[in-house]
Amino acid sequence: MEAIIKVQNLKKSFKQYKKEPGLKGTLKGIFKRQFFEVNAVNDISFEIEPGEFVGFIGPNGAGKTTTLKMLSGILYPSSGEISVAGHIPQKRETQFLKSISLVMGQKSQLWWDLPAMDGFILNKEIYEVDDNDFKFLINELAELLEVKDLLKIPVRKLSLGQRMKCELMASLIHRPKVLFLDEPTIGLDIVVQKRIREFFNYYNQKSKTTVLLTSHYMEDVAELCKRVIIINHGSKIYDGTLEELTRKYANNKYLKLIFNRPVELADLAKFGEVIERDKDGLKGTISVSRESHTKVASGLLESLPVDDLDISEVELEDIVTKIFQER
Amino acid sequence: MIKYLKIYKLFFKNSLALLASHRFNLLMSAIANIVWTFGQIVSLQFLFTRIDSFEGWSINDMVLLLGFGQLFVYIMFVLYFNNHGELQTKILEGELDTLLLKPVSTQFFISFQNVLIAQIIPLFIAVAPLIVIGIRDLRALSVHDVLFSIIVLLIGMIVMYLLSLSLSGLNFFTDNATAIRDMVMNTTDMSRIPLTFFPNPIQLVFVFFIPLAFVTYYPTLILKSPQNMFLILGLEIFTLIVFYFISQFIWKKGLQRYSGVA
Repeated sequence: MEAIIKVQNLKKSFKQYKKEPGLKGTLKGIFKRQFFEVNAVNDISFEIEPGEFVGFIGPNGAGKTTTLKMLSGILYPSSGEISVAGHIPQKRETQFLKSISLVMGQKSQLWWDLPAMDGFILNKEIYEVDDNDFKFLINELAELLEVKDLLKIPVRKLSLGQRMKCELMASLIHRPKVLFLDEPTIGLDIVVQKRIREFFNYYNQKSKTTVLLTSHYMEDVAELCKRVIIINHGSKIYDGTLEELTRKYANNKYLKLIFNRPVELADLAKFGEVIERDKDGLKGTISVSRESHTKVASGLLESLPVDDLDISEVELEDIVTKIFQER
Repeated sequence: MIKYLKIYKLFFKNSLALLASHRFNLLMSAIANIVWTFGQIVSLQFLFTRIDSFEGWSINDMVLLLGFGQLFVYIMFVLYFNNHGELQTKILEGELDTLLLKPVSTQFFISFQNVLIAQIIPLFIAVAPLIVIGIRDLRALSVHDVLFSIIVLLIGMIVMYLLSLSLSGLNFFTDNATAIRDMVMNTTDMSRIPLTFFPNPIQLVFVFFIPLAFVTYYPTLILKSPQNMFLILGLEIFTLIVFYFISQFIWKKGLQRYSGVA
């Protein structure tokens, strides 16, 4: 199958200037500025196949949003080649713009003082969506996202979660082939985050839309993406499946324990590295090597008053943190 | 073209809804503009009690000049003035992203998305009587002259739109160039003075660099004493072509430099 997104040696640098603090620095800056280049994206290459749901993760300033903006044609690359749905994004051809959508958790495309429905109607005309198709899609999306009663209320009166759901609807009116999601769940409560994740999962499976997601919430990535691309300081450091990532970077497993009477920290530490332990000593998590985890588990059951034992993989968040700390 | 008309209709409809929610503020600004226009007429009448003519222009000629000036200013306000102001902010704050994703001309979208409907009220109330008063005592006008005057005015408005767009686009290249547009657009006040009043270098500025002469002075001159009309039109079309290419160049190069961050 031919890739729908192709990125080859992509680079993006920004010119910035330094300003020394204080009045002296301000005056100096007016006459002579010290410019320097920041490499936001540094030689990234990858390909994504149609229908894939890929997580694009990295710490703040890693170059995730810059990459997404180049893929959607907002920013021009400094060098390198991009092809999305058979188009070169920076040319911003009408057919290309009709085939993609970018949802930014921190930016809105809806009119603040008007109901979301007015924004949808505007998008309908902009994307030249057929009347019947529009009605069908609005009904379907509103039902899935549980916002049917909110479409006629001015956007500014909606909660953050309700607004994000409406933003999603506005972005999907033209049935994009490729969907870029930039922190779509940022600032939302756990319930809404979960609802939106369920929606993305359903939408991706039903419409076979290709999705590239950036998120600081590892739960989003773990729940939705089979494949992840990790970048740091503008460079790609991992591209593969989540399972592979866990195997490669997590040599340990977590044993999550519940005790029927308090257990001392020292007793727990005998079996492995204590990741967490509650104040009462009734709950704890230890990290043990992959090879020895079954042996340690049986030892724990024999020596300590274990009421419940759960063996789990290391959290994605911990793996990613470990990767970034090592670099 | 039909697509763009449909979109503009929605811009208008949405702006009308906004007017309804902010009606008091917008109506007060419309009233202030009406008062300002009538203040200008009263000032002119007071001035002409002491002089017979200004640079060979009678009070009716001056009122007509003022009328064209107001017509230009209000149409500019209704259509794009505030939108271009917002464009500058959007470029500087990296808020152009969502607009750049739309499969329509970004220049069209950003220039016309908010229609300042409240300014249509002073446009009709203040400008229409001005023109009636202005042309009352003028010689019998021919349809040809009136049409020519309107054509010169319309092309002049497009040139001024391109100038405003270009100046807003300068923000792509600097940290903040809003003062340049503010300074240039503030010169619209000068359009209420006959061009010949200014020294030659300033006249050149108002014809080729800030071509206000095409939205006030020349449309009035064509009605007052038609002469060299094709030369005026030729000059104006030349200016239009130059400004078109400048604005497109700034826009194209500007988008390449757009960083999308504040």
